Amino acid sequence: MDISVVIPCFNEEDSILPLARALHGTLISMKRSFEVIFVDDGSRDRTPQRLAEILGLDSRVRVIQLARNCGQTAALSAGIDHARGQYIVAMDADLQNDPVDIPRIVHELDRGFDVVSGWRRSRKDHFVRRRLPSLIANSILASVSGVKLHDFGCTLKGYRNEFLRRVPMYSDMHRYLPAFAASMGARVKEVEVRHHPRRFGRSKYGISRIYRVLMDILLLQMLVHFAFRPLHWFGLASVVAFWLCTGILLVSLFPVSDSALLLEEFSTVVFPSIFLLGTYLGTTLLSLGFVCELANRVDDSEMRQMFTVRDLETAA
Amino acid sequence: MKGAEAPRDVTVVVPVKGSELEFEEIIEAYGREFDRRGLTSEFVFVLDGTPESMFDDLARRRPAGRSVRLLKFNQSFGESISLAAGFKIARGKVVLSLPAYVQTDPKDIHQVLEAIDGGADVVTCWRRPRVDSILNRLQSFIFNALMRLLTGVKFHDLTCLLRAMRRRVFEDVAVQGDMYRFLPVLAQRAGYEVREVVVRHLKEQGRNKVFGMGVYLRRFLDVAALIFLTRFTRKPLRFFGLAGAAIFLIGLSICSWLLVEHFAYGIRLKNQTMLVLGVLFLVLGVQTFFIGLVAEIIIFTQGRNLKDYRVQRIEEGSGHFRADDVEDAPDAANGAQGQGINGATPVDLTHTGLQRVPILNPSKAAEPVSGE
Repeated sequence: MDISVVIPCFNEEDSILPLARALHGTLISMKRSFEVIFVDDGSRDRTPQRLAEILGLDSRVRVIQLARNCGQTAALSAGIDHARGQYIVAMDADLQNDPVDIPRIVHELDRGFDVVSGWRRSRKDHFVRRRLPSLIANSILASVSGVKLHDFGCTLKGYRNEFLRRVPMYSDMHRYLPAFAASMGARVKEVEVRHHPRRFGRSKYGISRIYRVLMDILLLQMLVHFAFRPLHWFGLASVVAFWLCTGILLVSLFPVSDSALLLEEFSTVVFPSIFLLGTYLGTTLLSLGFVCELANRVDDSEMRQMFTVRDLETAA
Repeated sequence: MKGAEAPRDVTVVVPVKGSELEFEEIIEAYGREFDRRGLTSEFVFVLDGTPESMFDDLARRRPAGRSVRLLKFNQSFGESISLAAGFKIARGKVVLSLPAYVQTDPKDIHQVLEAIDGGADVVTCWRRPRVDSILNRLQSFIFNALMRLLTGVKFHDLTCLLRAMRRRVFEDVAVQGDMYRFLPVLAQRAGYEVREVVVRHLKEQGRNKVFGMGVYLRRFLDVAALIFLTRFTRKPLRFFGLAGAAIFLIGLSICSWLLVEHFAYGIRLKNQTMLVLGVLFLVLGVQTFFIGLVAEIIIFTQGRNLKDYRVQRIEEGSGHFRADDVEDAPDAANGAQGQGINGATPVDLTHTGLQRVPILNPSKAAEPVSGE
């Protein structure tokens, strides 16, 4: 199968039928095999009934009903886990994304990009409440991650399936996927997409998330480099601690000058205490590094190799 | 009415500890209310460290015409384990937990069941007004107020054992150790709909005492574990990083103060015992941060195996949507009326089983098809 479209829905009773109709029109006109996966994230309105109506229309539709409201990333990852397509296109159910843009995203994936992210160039949202914070967040994300995208928050994105299968999807990961992907070596491309004002329902995003977004992306950047070689980094930290201690011990054993009052005091009290605790810290860090190394031995090799594997295949 | 293994509408689970049990009273009182609603029911009594003779005694006293099941532990495991065991053998679509005596007005069960019919996944009860001793009430009030403060949910009576939940909740929400009392908090956190109803408190048995230090300590650790579980499981570094930074800052301020004293006031550093404490805090802060990092790395690398979602069912579509249908499709307003699009036969919703049916209505109730 070529294309899987994954659509997480939470309380979108009014949007679903128009969306499904527009989506099918576009997908059929593309003359590729496709499936549409709606993930109902524990909606409390009539979304399940609407989805049931759509099920009767086309055999290429699947509905995944989640037992509870699991959140957007979880709903998305439920859809991705059940997707069979070679490409996965994720989009919102709120009609702000336009299915008409899907062919262009697929075209870029065909050209060999791993992640194709939408850019809502002319956003139809409130400037101060929605667009300004997102402008700031996007520039921070772009500079921290080094991925020059304009719009990380756009939900209309296309991915290569075998790449997504290896991404840990938890917490707010869907937001950082392009940045994460790029640091893993994926080729990321941005295409302009249409953006419509919200017609039904209300927005489910809060505004003041910039701080959390920033912390998350910094951590993610760190983890990408860190997670696969924990012993390396922990070892480095512990070596620094050890060297510091040894140096201090030497200084306290052979005082350079007995005239300096401060140095004498440091030699008798300060240096020994720093030495003891520093030694302790160094040992602890080293053992933590070992624990870490053991803990992620399992997934490690697979994740590190993923892009190499794909490149070999396309070259063949 | 149905075969022995047929699913029931309601299963009542009663953990029994000690020899006090209002066996017939519970079955009689609640059975009558279930009959009134036309629900099939079963009662499961979990005997947890009860006298040897009790099992045979109860088996003999089993009332005719009611489905009653007894489960006996060989040693005492405590309330949460008893309930978990009871839930495991429950055949009801909805499970009710009750104390071993008629604590609240059985008629209030209708409110509880109506809340479930109204879409709630968990119903927790608030006994009001309380009829037990002032000491009990005070302890309970402090505990619940503290929980509201710490967890940010708005339940007033987490110690009330009367509780109802849909099957999928207890199959999904992991309850370890002594955590059953926090189940509403965990369930709400997981995304289930939890409602609170007020019930009339009739009487209170036993438990009229000040607990030992050990009990309070265990309760405190439970709460700490709960907060960690609900807030930081996916982001451990947010917790450890913050704690580590705080400890490090304390150490830093102690050390810098000592230096200030040394240079400004001439208090010799070698006379300062606080120095060891300051350096210790610095080290401890760094260590805490790194432990958080270890946790974060584990979550990150195992992230693919952690399923944050739970699938209730997957439905495959049928039919064939043709491209030329798109042009003359009716507009959104029409489609939203529930008609099929483009003359496709309107879908009979009762057969899809997808809607949130009142699960207590046997004619329409649907069991989950698949789950992970």
